[in-house]
Amino acid sequence: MVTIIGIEAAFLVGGLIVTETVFNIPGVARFLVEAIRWRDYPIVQNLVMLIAFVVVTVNFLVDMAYMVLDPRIKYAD
Amino acid sequence: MAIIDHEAELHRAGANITGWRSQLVFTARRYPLGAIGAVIVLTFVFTAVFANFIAPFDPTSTDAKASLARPGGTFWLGADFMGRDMFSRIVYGARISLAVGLGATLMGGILGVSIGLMSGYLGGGFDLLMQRLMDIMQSLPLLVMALVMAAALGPSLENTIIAIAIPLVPSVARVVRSSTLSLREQPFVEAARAVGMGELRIAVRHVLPNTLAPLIVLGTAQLGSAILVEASLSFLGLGIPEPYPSWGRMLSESAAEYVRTAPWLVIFPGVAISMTVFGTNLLGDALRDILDPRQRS
Repeated sequence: MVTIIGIEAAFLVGGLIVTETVFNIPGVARFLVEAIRWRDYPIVQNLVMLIAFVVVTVNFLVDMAYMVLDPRIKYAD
Repeated sequence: MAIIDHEAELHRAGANITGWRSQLVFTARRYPLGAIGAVIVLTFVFTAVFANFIAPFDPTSTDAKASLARPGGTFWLGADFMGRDMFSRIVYGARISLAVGLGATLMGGILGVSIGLMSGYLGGGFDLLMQRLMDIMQSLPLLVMALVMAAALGPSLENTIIAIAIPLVPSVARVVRSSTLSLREQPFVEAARAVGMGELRIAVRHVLPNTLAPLIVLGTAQLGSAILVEASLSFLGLGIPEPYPSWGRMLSESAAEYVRTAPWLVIFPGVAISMTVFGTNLLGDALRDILDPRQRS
């Protein structure tokens, strides 16, 4: 269940790109698409880094949630 | 890797089965959803291959008089603002979707298999390096990665295929690596080595075929998502360039202006995309049930 939340979160960030374009929401993903259109690569790099950071953080939190939810799982210290 | 012996299972079930035709019917009865998926996928492939015989009009020829024509009459599914026949464009769009979907899945599959096989078989430093590289690639969602790749490569059919293939590599590599790791320790690999086979030959001839079942399942799932990502990229204007009819771009160029006055311009490409992805997903689920019994729910 928690695993699914982690995978879904990454998937939803990808889905944001289309959603924000369709509904004209001025969000990060729409900014990314516009930056690509303007060929403004420094902004593209930063936004990609931000998205990667969010995805990695969510995955990390999911891994930590395993430890809380299932006492059998312990990570080596 | 136990692939179920279907014929034996069918005999056990008491089915009187001779010949491939009744076997096909039996399998279709047993997995009705998978059969529906297979029919959708086959229709899609058939449409794509024989597009020039099915389409009544040239997908790029314009007709000013027919601009925004309603569905029915000469134009079965209406015409867009330039008077291009929607039905022909959807039929030719299937060709583009199939080319990108299959191309990206195969290319990603070949790259992923070679990386995964080498990584699992050689182990050590190479494995570590490759797996960290895959980790980095997996830290970006599929669509974001494809979007950035497409932006870096520039819009064209080949570049779109490459841009979608690269993000598909890590999941294939993971699947192949994990099966290779367990297969490497199997007695038959040891036997092959004792007979004096080369390592490369063992890896390709004996380990690789045993990883095929999960690979086929993953491949069908990836075909659907590749088609979806192609549609999204074209929707955003970074996918297939103008002369080719692409379902995603057909949506985006009509969605903004004509959704109220000519909704058929938006509905039919959208239905085409969702039916195709739905069909590949159903087929993929059925294939997983048939080929990978451990994951059966």
